[in-house]
Amino acid sequence: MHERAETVVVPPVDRRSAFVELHLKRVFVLVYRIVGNVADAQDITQDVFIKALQREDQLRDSAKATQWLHRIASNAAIDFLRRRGRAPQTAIEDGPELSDASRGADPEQMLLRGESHQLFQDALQSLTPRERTALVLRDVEGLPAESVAQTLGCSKATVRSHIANARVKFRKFLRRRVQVSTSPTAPPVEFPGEEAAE
Amino acid sequence: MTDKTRESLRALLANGDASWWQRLKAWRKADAEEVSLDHEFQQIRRQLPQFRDLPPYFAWDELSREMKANILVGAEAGDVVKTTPPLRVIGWKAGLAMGSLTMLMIVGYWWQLPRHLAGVVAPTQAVLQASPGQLAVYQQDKGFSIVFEETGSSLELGGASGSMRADYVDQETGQLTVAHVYLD
Repeated sequence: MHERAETVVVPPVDRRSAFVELHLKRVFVLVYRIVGNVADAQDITQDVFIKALQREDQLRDSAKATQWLHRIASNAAIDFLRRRGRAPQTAIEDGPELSDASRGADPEQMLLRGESHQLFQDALQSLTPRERTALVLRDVEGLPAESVAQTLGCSKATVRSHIANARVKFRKFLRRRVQVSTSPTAPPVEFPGEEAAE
Repeated sequence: MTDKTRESLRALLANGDASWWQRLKAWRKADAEEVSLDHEFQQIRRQLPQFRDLPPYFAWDELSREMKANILVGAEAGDVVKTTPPLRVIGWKAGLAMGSLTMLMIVGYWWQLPRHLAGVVAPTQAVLQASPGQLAVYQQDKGFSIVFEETGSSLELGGASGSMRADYVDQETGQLTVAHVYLD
């Protein structure tokens, strides 16, 4: 008995929808972390995906698509900041309404988490766009330094320099903000209400 | 090493991002201050991955629906206005070869052009031309001439195969001068 292989033809709309569904959140968060503004992050993310869908034939490989989207999104966000100068920040809390899932949650815990995210976003804004992007890609997204260098289109040594500067500035910002003594023997800074992600 | 340089170095060393050269520079045992710095950088680094996601209270579903709709509509609109890409019938190598050939044909045509446009075709036969005081023979763009004194009568003959002869008789002395030149 012969088995006949059947090819499932996925309609373009469904394929596109699935592609957007798969990558939208990570790209949006990355762009938001760089531009620090929900509305601008939304516009940039939409542009990035529209461009991506125009060349979807080249993006069938999911891993390559992710890398490509990271690169395009990072560069689009950096270009945006370069064109516009420092963008005014919109805290995520000032953006869309609260989600249904959050209603009924512990308000104190939510406040702490909100403070934590806002503190992180404020700290990011103390960095240059390239330092910010390098820090987000390396320390938040966990990409290897080589990938960060590819994304930013620079050498690994430059990425190391960006990351070192970013971490030093980040630490200083957190120390100032949480008003901990600058003495190196002071306890390490922590974000409020969050467990360290091990 | 300045404080800033040392701090930058610790920021990389503490999280395993230092190059071999930087690790070599920091080979000695870290003092208490550096150990504390390392801990602090590590502590911050450990907390950062949590910001990979949005806060749980963020209305992502609503925003994502709106964005997704905009993206799909934008992509559809892009498909509509997208111009048909030029047909790629030949590869670049074949294109280069055809371009070279075309260029060669244009140059060749241009090279021939003066002959086509020249209204009077240059004669292929040798032509003898006599004028007072000068006798000349030429064939296409080559030729020569003999210039002699204009006084007195002269006899000018032209050979059919590129030779020329000229006899000149001096009226006073009766001396005959014969010039016979072959055109090679």
